[in-house]
Formats: sequence, structure tokens, C-alpha cells
Amino acid sequence: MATIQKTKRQKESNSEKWLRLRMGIVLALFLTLFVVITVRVTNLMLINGDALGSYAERQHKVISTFITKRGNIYDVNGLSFAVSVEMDSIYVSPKDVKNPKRTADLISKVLSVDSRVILKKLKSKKNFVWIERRVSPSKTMRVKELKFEGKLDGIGFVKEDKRFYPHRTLAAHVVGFAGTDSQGLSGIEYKLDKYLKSTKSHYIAVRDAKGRRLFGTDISESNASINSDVTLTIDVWAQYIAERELKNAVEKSNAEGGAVIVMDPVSGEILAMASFPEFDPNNFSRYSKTSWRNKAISMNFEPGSTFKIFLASGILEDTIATTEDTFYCERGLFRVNNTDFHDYGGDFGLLSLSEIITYSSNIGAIKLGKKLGEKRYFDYLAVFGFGKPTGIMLSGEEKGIIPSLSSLNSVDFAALSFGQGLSVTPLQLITAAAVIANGGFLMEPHIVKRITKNDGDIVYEAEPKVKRRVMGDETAKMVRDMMVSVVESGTGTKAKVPWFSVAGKTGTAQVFDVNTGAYSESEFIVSFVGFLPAEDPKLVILVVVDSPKSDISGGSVAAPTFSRIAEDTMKHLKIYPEDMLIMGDGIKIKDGADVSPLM
Amino acid sequence: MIKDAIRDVFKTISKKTDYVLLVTVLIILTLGIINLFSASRMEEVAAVPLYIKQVYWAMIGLFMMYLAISIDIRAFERWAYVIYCVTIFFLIAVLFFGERTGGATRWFSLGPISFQPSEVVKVAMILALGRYFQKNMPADGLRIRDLIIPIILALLPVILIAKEPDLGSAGLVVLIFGTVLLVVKMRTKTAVAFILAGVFSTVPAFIFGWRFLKPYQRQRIVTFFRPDTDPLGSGYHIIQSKIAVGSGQFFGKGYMHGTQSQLQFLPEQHTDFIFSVLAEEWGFVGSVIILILLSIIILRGLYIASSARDVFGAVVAAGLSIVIMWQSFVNIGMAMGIFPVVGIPLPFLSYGGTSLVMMLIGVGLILNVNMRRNIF
Repeated sequence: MATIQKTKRQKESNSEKWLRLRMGIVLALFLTLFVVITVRVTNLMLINGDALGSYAERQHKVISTFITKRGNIYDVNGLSFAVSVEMDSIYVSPKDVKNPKRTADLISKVLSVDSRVILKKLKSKKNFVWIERRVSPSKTMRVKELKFEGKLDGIGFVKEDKRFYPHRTLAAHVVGFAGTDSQGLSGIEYKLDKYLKSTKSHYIAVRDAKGRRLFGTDISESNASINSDVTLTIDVWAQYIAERELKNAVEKSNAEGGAVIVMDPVSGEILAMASFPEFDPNNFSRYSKTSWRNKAISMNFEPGSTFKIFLASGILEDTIATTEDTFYCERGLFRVNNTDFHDYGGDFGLLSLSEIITYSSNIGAIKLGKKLGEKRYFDYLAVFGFGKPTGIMLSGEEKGIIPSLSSLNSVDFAALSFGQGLSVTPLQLITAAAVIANGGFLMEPHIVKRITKNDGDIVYEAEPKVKRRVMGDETAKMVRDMMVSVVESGTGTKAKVPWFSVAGKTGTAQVFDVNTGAYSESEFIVSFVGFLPAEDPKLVILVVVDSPKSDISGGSVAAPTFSRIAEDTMKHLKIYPEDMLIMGDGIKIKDGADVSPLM
Repeated sequence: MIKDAIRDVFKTISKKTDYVLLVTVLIILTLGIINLFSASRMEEVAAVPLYIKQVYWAMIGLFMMYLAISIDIRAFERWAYVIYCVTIFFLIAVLFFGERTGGATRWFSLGPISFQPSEVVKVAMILALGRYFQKNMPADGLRIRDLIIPIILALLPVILIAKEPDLGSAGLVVLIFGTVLLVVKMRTKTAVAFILAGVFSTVPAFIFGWRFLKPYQRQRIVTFFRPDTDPLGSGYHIIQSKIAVGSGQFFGKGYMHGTQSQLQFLPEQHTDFIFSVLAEEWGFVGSVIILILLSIIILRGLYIASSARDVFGAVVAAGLSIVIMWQSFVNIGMAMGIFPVVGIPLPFLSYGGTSLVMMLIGVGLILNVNMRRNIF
């Protein structure tokens, strides 16, 4: 019994040993597998972790670029001069087109394009072909309807921005235009391109396996995503009035062109700046390049008699003479160094300073010039701002031409006294004239009211800025009174505006013909600069008409234009003369006067 | 009543329970559900979220584990063939009445519950093998003819599973069977024959088997060796999984912050590639912890097997540990691109009711073997 038990135990322990050995085999197998897995885990996660990690990032991270719209340009009341509109561009992925012939016919009918041209695009080997870009909304609608009916396989739409100028020609020279890729090419569009231009911003978005984008982080440089809108000081209505009247004047007198500027003398803000010939910035390429030119800032012209007010200012400020001091005007003919100078308004004898201005005597001006002296005259030209750009926020501003003092002979200086032999720009001229309206202060002219980021931050805001004081208040008042009498009884009577006292000065300047080397007998630049109401000026207006054919004096071409612009603009601005207010009737406040003239 | 039941549970469990194994399983089960929440939260919204379903399955599984512990191990030995036959019956039935998904019929659908007999058969086969070796173990080891019945016991489920078709699971059963044979005592001659047969059958099996493979199955094997040949097609799974695992790096991207899993670049992330989710979010550290936890379970099972009272206990404990070992290796290997994508779930971590319940029953049986080793 005992032996049996022993053998049994022996057997058991024997079999247990076997079992252990076999467990050892399984254990070895386990260890092998464990090592394999561990090595692999280490290899993937620690050794190749970086590479696979960046691979993972490439998979789920996408950099999205957002392009903001180009900034808008507004008039002073927020009406749009330039806006970016989303338009549909139509494309085709040719391999999805099932019936090219029918598709081409349908599209060609809507877009009025030759169906063969479209058919060629539909049969292209490329994956993506534009059919037409920036298609008008009505056409797009019709194509979309066809697509909705299932007749247009493979046709698709992409939104693209298009610059649109809703007021067309209005203020076109100021606003300018931008090219198809949102690059400003002229005017404000060019000058303030860095604020207006559409900006790209980059975002890291995360996308899932199905390509859906989930969230994003902005990684673009600070503020890169913000572009700005520009508000001008231009008032659409004032601009409309100015352009309408300028066009009238130019067409009636068969002139080559012209410019009008309407300015608030107190703030230096420009309410209207018109230039003729006009163009439509929506289709700028169809107009000649000369029509794109903003004459109000880029036209260098000899101002002629309007310049006499600056000469008179100098005389009075330096107290060389009083307004009542008289000068002999040589009965219409005055010879300086063998050169004859004439008066055009009549053969004057003795004229007071005031009368010289009123009747625009050239000979009187020559004598005044002599009295003031070349040096002081040039000093005054400089402080009035001639010969230097005004620095207005517009592109293409000229600075005028002032001959150097040393090169002058007495004939030249005689001519300079009444505004010949030097050139100015319309903007310089009106800025200088505004000094007289503004009690002697030279204001910096502004055309941009403010620049606003589209998150509301104001980047720039124009503040009225006194550049310098040119003359005393008393002097300004005296010159102003002389200018009033120009309109009351002198050369500028056609500039009268009902209910208002107007101060102004006409100018009829000869044009120096570069070809003949002499002043032309037929080409003149006529102008009128004035302000109203004379006692408390609200508007300064300059009208320049280049080479009128049928009528050649500032008094008869430019002055009536000034009058009409002044009258309508004052009405628009709801500035009523006190007399009229006392009478109480005759005032009809136009409702809806704030809407744009084209709306 | 309930009090009594609870006391009963504790009494059963406290009796010489291997706490190391039990606690490890509970830890890994919890981690699995936490991980599954992250893996499935971005998926399409179902009536009951996957992780909640998994919690239900875990509760059912724990209950079954409790049963597996509390029933005398001899009862399992006695009923082993019956259990085996019933499972085989289900395997046959699934071919006729099973739910057809993705070209294969592997499931029974009973209302909201789906049931996968191929998961059950692994346990049933081990019980049957245990029973056979218990009764037919010559003192000096198995002869070659003693292997005939076990081979039939293994081949039957292999053929039936291959018929579904689920070649991955079928191959796994072969692997498990082969490994279990390593545990049992053989004569030297038998062992040599067995090893030679194993080695020499591999090549013809490949050549012969290749013809029976469906195109997608061949593609899988091809892409396993050259995943870059078809990065958007069948190689996609492998590449994506490797990216997810690798991009986890040392500390991982953080719970629920795995980009590849949360953004659904990772395919089948709650079943086949659950490990990739874990690796991406918990990094090398988390992966190693899971590997260690799985190793504890496997090694503990093998240790219990080696101290088992009889051959049945030894075969059952060892066999079930081997099931866990192979499934873990194949699944993780799959996720890391060192094994073809064959659709084997990762024990305790992959979503899947039958698999989880069977794994827990398996652990229960191992614990049962441990508890009853010194009864006599």
C-alpha cells in the first residue's frame, strides 16, 4: 500500500515536472511576444513618434486662408462710392458634363456667348474651366435655375468679389478705381490702398476624416485680417451739383474740360471735387487715360486775375496802401520794357486799390506789384501755399510752377502781378482763397474724413488743421469786401446768388502755347473763385474751365456756374440766409434730400 | 434576501480567490470603459451610447464570472462536451440564421443584443480539450493517436468559423489549439511529429488557402506586407493606426484629445483599433501600463495552471490564458502594423458584448481552478 502510494506520488511529481517544463515553453512564447510588442511600441512611439506625430498633424490640420473684402469708400453721409460685391463666377468640371451640346446651348443663350466657345470649354481635358467670371446676378439666377432643373451637370459657381461703383461717374476722379485683384490703381483707391485692400488671414483649422472643418485658430500676423473703410468729406449731393454744373459749363462753352472744387473754408474739408471729362470707374478701361485725370489737383494752370486778391492781401497786410489809395491805370495801355500790357474791362484812369480788384485792372495790378516788391510778393505766394503740394490724400497732386526769383525780369514780374507766368493747381488756388474767407488762417485741405477698421477702430480722423496764419483778420475782411464789390458791381456780377452776399474774383488767363513759345490768342483758362455768405463764409467754390471756345471770360463762363453751384449747394446744406428766415416763407425743406442723387 | 446574496458573493469570492488576477481584471475593465468612452463619443449618435452598452455587458459579464467561480469546477468538467456541442450547434445555426454584415454572417441578433458564437467556442473548446486530456492522459504522455480526437475538437469550430467567413478567428483557434498542446504532456515522438506537422503544414496551407481567400482577404494580406501600395484603400487602416499610435509619443495627447481618433481618421476605433486610441491619448506610458496589466493576467493564469490540481484544471487555466495572450498579441500587433488586420478584439478593451462576457467567464474559470486546487 505504501509503495503504491509512493509511486503514485512519484508519478504525480513527475507529471508536475513535465507540466512545469511545458509551462516554460508557453512562458517563453509569451516573453517573445511581449518583447516583440514592446520593441514595436518603443519603435513607433518613441523612435518614430515625432515623424508620425507630424504626419498626424498634416492629416488633420489645414491652413485656411480667408480673404476679406476690399474696404468700402463712403461719402460724408455714409453713401457708398465704392463697394465690393460678391458675384458668382461660373465654372465647369468637364468630366461631369453629360450632354455637352445641350449644356452649351443653354448656357450660351443665358450668357449671350457663342455656344461654340462654351462647347469648347465643356470638352476641355482640364478638371476645372471658367465659363465666365463675375456674372451679373440676373444671369447667374437664370443659370442657377437651369442647374436646379437638373439640366446642367458639371456646372458650378464660385463667389468672387467685384469692385462696384454705384454712383458711376460721380466723384470718379476722387474715388479712382481698383483692378480685378483688389489693387488700387488711381484716386483714393490707390492712395489709401494699404487700408482698403483686401487682406488675407490664415487660420489653422482642424478637419476630421470626412473633411469637415471643425475649429480654427488665427495664426496670421496681428491685425492682418482687418481692412478699413474710408469715409470722404465729399457729399454726394454737392458733388452731383458740382459735376452737373461743370458739365453744363464745359459743354455750353465748347471747352476742353474743367474742374470744380467746393470747400468748407473753416474746416478745410472738401465737399465736392469735380473734374471733366468724366469717366465711369466701373468700366474705366473703356475711357481714355486722360479722362481719368483729376484736374482739380493735377492741372497746372496760369491763374490770371484771380491772383490779384493775393497781391491785394499782401499790400494790405503790409499796410503799403489802403483800399482807398488810388493808382493811375494809364488809360488801358502800359509799357514795361517794350512790352505792352492792356486792361480788358475798359481804359481806366485813377482807380483805388479796391477798384483795381473790382474791375480787374492788370495795369493797376502791375503797379501794386511794384509797390509791394518782388521779394514780399514771393513771400506771400509761399505763405499762401503756392509752389508746394497741399498734401491732400489723393494721388497725382501737382505742385504748380513758380519761377525762381532770380530769373525774373521786370516784364515777367509785371505779368506775375496779375497771375500770368506762374502755374497753380485748382486745389492750391481754392485753399489760398479760403484763407480770405477764413479770417486769414490757412487750413489744410481734407478729402478723407476718416478711415475706420472694420472692427470699428478709427485709424485716422481728419481734424481741422490750421497750417499757418497768412494775414490778419482785418486784412482778410478788407480783401473780402473788395471781392464782394467784384460780384456786386465788377467783373463777377453773374456770380450773384439770390439771398446771399457773395465775394469772388474772376480770372481769365492766357495759355502759354509750348509749340509757338508765346501766349495763345484763342486759348484761355477762365475761372471764378468765391465764397458765401460773404460775412460768414460757409462755402468756397472754385470753377475752372479749360479753353472755352464760345465765350472766353471768367465773368461770363465760370461766374454763372459758380452761382448755380453755390445756390443749389447752400440749399442742399440747408443754409438759409437770415433775411429769408425772417420772412419765413419760400423755404421748402426738401424731404429726402439726404439720399443720393442717383438713388 | 439581497443581503444573503451579497454575503454569498463575498463568501464565494473570498475563499482563496486570486486577488491579483481579479483586481487586475477589474482595473483593466474600468480603463477599457473609460477608453471606450473617448473612442466612441465622436461616432454617430446611437440610442444607447456604445460605452453604456459596454457597461451593461460588463455587468452581465461580472455576474457570469461570479457564476463561473461559484459553480464547482467538476461540473464544468462533467458538462464540457455538452457545452461544446451546444456551441457547435450555434456555430452551425449562425451560418443559416445569422445576421449578415459586411459579407459575413458572424452574429445572432436577438433584439438589441447580438451574440457571436465564435467567441464562445474558444472557451467551449478549451473545456472539451481539458475534459479529454483529463480522461485520456497516459502516464507517459500522449501518443500520436491520442491527438486525433483533440484535433477533431479543434478542427470542427475552425471549419465552421472559416465558413462564416471569419478567417481571423479561425486562425486564432488554430493558434490557441497549437499552443494548448504545448502545455499537455506528449511523448517525444508525438512532440516531434506535432512540431514537424506544424512547420510543414504552414507552407501548403498558405498556398492552398490562398485560393479559397476572397479578394478582399488577399488584399488584406498583401497590404499588410506593403501598406503603402494602397494608402487610401485597405492599407488605410494600418497606416492610420500606426500614425495614431506613433503620434501619441511618450505621454500621449491626453484623454479625449487624440486627434486621429477624435477626428475619426482611425477606422474601427472602438473594436479592432481600440489600442490605437489608448496609445494615442495615453502615449507610451499608458500603452506600457496596459501591456503590463495584460501580462499580469496572462502570467497569473499560467501560474494558476501550473499549480492546478488536475489536468483539466491545468488545461483550462492555461488554455484560457493562452486565449487572452494570443488575442492581445494579435490585436495589438494589428494596431501597430506587425500583424495583418484580422478583426480580433482586444480582451477587456474592445467593444463587443460576447467577447467581453466570455473573457470574464474565462477569468472566472481560471479563478475557479485556483480556488479548488487544494480541495482534496
